[in-house]
Parts: sequence; structure tokens; C-alpha cells
Amino acid sequence: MAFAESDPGRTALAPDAATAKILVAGGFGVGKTTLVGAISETEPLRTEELITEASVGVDDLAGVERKTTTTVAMDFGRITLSQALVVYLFGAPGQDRFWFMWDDLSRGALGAVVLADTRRLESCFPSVDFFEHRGIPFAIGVNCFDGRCEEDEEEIRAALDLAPDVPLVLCDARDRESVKRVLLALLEHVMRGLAAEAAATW
Amino acid sequence: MRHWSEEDPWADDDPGPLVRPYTVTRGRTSSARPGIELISLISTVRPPTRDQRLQPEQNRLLALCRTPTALVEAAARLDLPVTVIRVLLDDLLDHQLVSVSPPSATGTPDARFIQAVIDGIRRI
Repeated sequence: MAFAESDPGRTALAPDAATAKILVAGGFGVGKTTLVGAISETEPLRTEELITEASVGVDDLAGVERKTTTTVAMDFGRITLSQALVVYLFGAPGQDRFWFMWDDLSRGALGAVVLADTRRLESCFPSVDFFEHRGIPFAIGVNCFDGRCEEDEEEIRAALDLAPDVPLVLCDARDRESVKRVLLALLEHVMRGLAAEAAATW
Repeated sequence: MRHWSEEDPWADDDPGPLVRPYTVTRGRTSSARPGIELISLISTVRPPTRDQRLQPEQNRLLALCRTPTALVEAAARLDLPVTVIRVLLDDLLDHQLVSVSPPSATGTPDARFIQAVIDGIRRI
């Protein structure tokens, strides 16, 4: 994959600009990179990390003396909001055996969008579990392919066993405005969480 | 005579960027500097002097980061793993050729910060 090293079209950031991170999770092939690409000012970028055998963990390497490495790809995009503020969206590897990467990725993240496909809703269960257990705020984006959004929100909520405060938004991962609505639903949820925390402290 | 690798059942057809990146780092695979996150911004402070002998990859990193660039984006644009960029950064920081934004700039989730992100996304 070749990238130009200069990018004259972008707003130049100040060296001390604040950077924010939002994760995009969900099962394989659900449209994570599509969602990132719909709102990113760049084509989704990809970085590949080499993971050594020891980190992979669940691979059965018993009796295999030789070290192996696995490449894990991360796709991400950038939204420059001003010279002083930029948001990075990370679509992270959905396969179970890469969950160890999520602890690293989620550190310092504002929250996560879990993208769901109603044809195989169960593929987003592990992501929902992960964020619930770590107390990371998340919102569900139900990706309605081909504009087909006849799903019943309450049924999806029940199937995912969502807490009532978790936002669920029907969306089209290809559509920028639709993706904006999902991100705003997540961020407003994060704000409500902070307000509730502050109220509990005082 | 066959090359040894052709007889090695473990050899990959496409070994990918396994050897080269860590040649760039002279075998170093980790950086001792804490607090540099994937989204920390790297900014070039000044060009290297003649006697600072940098590797081509470090020069490319300096050129790229004349526009402040996040660690993860530098990795993607230079087509190197994040861990390699971290090691390359070590030398550049030692030579005071780059600065890295402080951890406090990487998304401390307080209300004012989240509100700024919300307002920004509404505007785009």
C-alpha cells in the first residue's frame, strides 16, 4: 500500500493539539472500515503490527519450537476538528484471538461504536462484553445495508441485553451524516456518564 | 544448489516486512520511553545537523512530521510498524530533533474536552 508522504490538503495541527481516540468495533466484515472511511478526511489508513507467538496466546503451538509471527492490521481515519483538536477513529481487528490488542487500543479512548449487522447479531457480542466489562462507554450502530432499516430496535436491544442507557442508532456505515449521528450519540452518552459521575461524587 | 530457505518448510512464500523493519532499528524492538501513545503527535523541531547521521527512515519521519503527525499515522504513512517508529523516535528525541505531545493532550475525557469534540463533529 503506497501513501504519499505529504498531504497538502489537510489542516495543519498545532504541535500541542489535543488528540482524541474513538474505537470502532464489531464482527468481521460488518463495515468497520467503511464507517471509518465515511467520515475520515483521509482514505482509511492501515498500520500492520507484528505480533509474536507468545502474545497470540490461543494459538496451539504446543511442541512447536520455532517462533511465529502474525500480522495484525489496524485501520484508522482522522477527523481534524480544528488546529487544536483532532479525532482518530480506530477500526480494530475483530477476531477473538486479537482481543489482547484491545486493552492497548482502548486506553485513553473516549468510547467505542459497536457496529452490528442484524443478519448475524451474535458477531458483535464479544465487543459488547469487552466494553461492558471494562466500563468503557459504547453505543451500538446497527448497520442497515442498502438502506434496509426495518429492524425493530427493541428486539435488537433485547437480543444484545443492552443496559437501557446504551444508545442504539440505526445507521448506514457508508453515509457521512449517518456516521456523524452515531458518533454524536456515543459522545452525548459519554457526557451523560460524566455528569452522573460528578453528581455521585458531590 | 538450492538456497537454504527453499528447503525450509517453515519459510513463508512472502515473509513480509519481518527482517527489514528491525534492521532499521538495529535490532532494537522496544523503546524505553513511556507515555507515547498511538495518538501522540510527533512534531519536527529542527533539521538534523551534518554530523547527526540519521537513517533514511529517520529522515523520512522528520520530513513527514514537519506537519505534526500522530505516531500511528506516521507508521502507516512510512509503512513501518508502530514499534519501529517508537525506536526511531528514541534517537530523534535524544537529538532533540522532534517533540512529542504530552500524554495529557491525548484525550483526557473531561466534560469540556468531550463537548469540544461534540461541537466539532456537529460542525463538519
